[in-house]
Amino acid sequence: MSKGPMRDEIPPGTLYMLILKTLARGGEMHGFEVANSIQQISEDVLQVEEGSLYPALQRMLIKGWVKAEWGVTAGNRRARYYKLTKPGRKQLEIELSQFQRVNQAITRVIQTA
Amino acid sequence: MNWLGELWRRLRMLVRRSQFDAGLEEEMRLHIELRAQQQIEAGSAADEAGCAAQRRFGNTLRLKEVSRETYQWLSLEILLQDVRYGLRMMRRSPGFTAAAVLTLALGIGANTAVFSLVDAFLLRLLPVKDPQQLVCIRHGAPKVGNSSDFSYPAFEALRDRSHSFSGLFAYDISHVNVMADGESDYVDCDFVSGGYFDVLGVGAIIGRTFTADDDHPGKPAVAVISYAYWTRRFARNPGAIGKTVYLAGIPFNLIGVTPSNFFGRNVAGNSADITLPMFVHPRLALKDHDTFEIMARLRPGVAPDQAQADLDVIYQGFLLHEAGLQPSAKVQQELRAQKIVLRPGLRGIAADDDSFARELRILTWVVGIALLVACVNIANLLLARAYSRQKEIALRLAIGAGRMRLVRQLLTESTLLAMAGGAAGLLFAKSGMGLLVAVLSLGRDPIAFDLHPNASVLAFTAGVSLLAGILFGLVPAVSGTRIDLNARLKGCEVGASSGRPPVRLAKSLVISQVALSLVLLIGAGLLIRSIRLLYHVDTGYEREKVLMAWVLPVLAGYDHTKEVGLYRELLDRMNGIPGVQSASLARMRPVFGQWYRRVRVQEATPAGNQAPEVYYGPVGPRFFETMRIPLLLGREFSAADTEAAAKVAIISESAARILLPNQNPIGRNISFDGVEPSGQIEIVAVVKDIRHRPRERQPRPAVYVPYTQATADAFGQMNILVRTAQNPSSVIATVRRQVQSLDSKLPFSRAETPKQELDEYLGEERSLAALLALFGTLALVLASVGLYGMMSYTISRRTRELGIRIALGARKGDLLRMVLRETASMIVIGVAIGLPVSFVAAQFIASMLFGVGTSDPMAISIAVLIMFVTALTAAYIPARRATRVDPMVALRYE
Repeated sequence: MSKGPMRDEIPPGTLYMLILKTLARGGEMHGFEVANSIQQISEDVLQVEEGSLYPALQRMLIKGWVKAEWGVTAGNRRARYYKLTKPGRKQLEIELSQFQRVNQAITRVIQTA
Repeated sequence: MNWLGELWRRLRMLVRRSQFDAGLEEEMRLHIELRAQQQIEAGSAADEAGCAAQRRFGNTLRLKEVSRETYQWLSLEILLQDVRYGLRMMRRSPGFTAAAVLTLALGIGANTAVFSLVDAFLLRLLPVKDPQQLVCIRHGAPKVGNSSDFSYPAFEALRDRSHSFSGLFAYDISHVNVMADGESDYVDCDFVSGGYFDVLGVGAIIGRTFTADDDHPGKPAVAVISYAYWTRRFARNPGAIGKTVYLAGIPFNLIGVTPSNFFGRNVAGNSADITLPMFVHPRLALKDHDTFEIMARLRPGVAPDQAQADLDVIYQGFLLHEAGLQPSAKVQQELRAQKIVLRPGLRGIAADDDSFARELRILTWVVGIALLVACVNIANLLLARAYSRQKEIALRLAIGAGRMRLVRQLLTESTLLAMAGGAAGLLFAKSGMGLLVAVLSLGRDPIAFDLHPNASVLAFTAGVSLLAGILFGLVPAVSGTRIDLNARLKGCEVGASSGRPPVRLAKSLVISQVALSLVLLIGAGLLIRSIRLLYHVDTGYEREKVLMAWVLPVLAGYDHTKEVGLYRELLDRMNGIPGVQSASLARMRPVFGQWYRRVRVQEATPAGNQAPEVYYGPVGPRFFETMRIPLLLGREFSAADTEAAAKVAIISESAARILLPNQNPIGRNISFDGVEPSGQIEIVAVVKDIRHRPRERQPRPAVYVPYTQATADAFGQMNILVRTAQNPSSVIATVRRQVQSLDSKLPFSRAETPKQELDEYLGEERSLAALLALFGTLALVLASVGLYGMMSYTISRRTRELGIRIALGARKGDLLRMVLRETASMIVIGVAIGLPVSFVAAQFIASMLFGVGTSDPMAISIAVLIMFVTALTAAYIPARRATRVDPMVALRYE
């Protein structure tokens, strides 16, 4: 981890939100693409422990926030593609507003300090 | 909804677990490979890239575990594990399993059977449009009780003047003779006013139903038939629609068939085979049918109270108008006390206040108690078993199983047993239904009933099984896992109190069984006692050797002259049958026939006074000889008492006492208050009183007249009475042949003796008594088995103590007495608890009892005696075993 920019662990509890947002933006994606996308858009600041994506995706499948279908990648390999569902979209809104609320609160605390 | 979807997804994942595992693995591999490829493209060496990708990915194995946990479902897997284990336990002790499942099957089966009936008759809504808007209309004065009988003009007044209903209809239940394709058929029929089908909102499955437009004199006569009759008579041939059938010679066009689930005003049971518009009622109904019942559909938004107030005004106005111009103040007051009563009609008329509904409610309690006794039995068995499994349980606790986990395991086992019992119970219920329906049908028309279990019955059975499983499993599970680990693992038994099942608990379970069984036995005893007393009441007429049979010339279209001629001919023929001692006729049957008229002695009863009400009995010649009613004074009716002859009457002793106290009634003249002036009637004889029904405290005063001289409404139907030397059923065939040789179209029905009529009258009491006795015996047997098991167990546990007692010189008799005394004390406690409970429970059947109170000492002592004898017998076998204990063996036992 010496090379490249400094990477931060993503804050706890925000992984769902990041995945949901990424899927909302990107449509159908497989796990690798999700991980890549998060990393790239955050300009390599946010580092997902890539493996942890998968338990999270399983949980989201069970909750019904995402749907999964097997498809074929550009490199002609079998991959599971994830797609946001309607409840998932709703969940994203909930998570976003919650995150913003917390964020604002923290910011206020820091600024008044 | 959300959790439901989640549940579904979880289940799907669980089922396709290996597929999901493989998928996950493939996904992860792809990820790592893609990452490695990316690194290579960025210029890394291949092997280094692989390692880096793996590092960035994290611990694959752990991640897989974590992923799996998300869809693994721990509780369900544990449940499946428990179920598997439970099934293994059941297989390992097939005897125990069979006994438990059989016991439960009886208990649950009985409950399922009764619930099927409750569901069919009491819970279901009428299969019509918006049944909750339907009401049954009755009338009555406060404290007098109410009646559903209205005159037709009263119905018309209510229908035409009320504003609270979207529709009202009147109906009358009767019989007709249907002549179709040259064959005649005596069937149940409904006469209904034209709005019937529209108000109910019931259509035809083929053809059409009739409407108010069809119900006008002069319109072509139409008829709608039931699905059952269409099936029975026309083999569901659609060609039946449009057919012309003849009822008493009047042609009717069959225009439609009602749906198979439509039973008229009831949710199930017997219904009319044919439904006819009301305008044909005057020509086809039995002549004494002059009242009608009314149902109505409330206008949406109208409360029943409003509707009732609306009808009250109309009904009282109608009654005042009927009473004539100047009713006395007293009459006015009486009429104003008449109130309309509305009853909910959504479940049909039977659910409301039918004796059948009451019987079903009592029966629900009875089978519930029986199931409870069965559950207690199994609880006791499980309790004993939990303690014989203590080593296993202790071991599992010792290696770290939680106690809750073990309780759960044991509960799963008991629930499995209960489910097996429930499944077997369904089979029992299916075959037991027939018996149950047959017993409940005592004294009624056979109850038509669809025996196929439906969803709600299945749900009920599953629910009851589950409840039973928890009920009998919980106590043994909790108490069986309360273990002193150290003592137990050391194999210590004697002296370690924790190793023994709490005998107190087992005992109290047996005591509760004794108490519950006793309640059922006492109930059965009370009913059996009162039925015996009811049959022993001297009713004053012959019950065994008289055959009665209805003939209904009105349904074959006879006019008055032809009808009288028929009866004269019938009498001649009946008297000629070999083995017949005498034959006669009676308009009324002794038990169910009730007809009252007001009668006055012309010179003796002042005109203003209310004339006394007497039983009115049109009968044939030799009636009193045939029924064995002794003649006290004067002469029998004879063939000479024709329509044209001088009018005569025979009165009963009590009628004589009321009408002409301390006078010779012979030769005096009486007359009836009635719709037609009956003229002067001369009393020609006095007969002994009879009680029509054994429950009558006082014999009703009666006035008999020759049938030829009876009022016109007494005609149309008649009972043939035949007195035989031998069993009267031997002449039924001959009587029927004779009637049919006179006229093959003449309806002939219900040939039976007055004894059989009384059986019918006491049907409710008899069926309840039979069922209480049946389930009481079942409970008694279960309780005895429970007692036997418990005593065997405690005695086998006390081998050492008994051995010491014998070694110290106790005699066998002493030991036997000791064990039996212990049993007896349990029964005494059970009886002490059961008695007060039975006093309370007996209130439910109090109205059915006759000659015995709810605390009848005879019934109670017999029940207690049976309890003691059976229970002591059950305890005797293990007690004898106790006396055979060899002291040496017992002392070396440990």
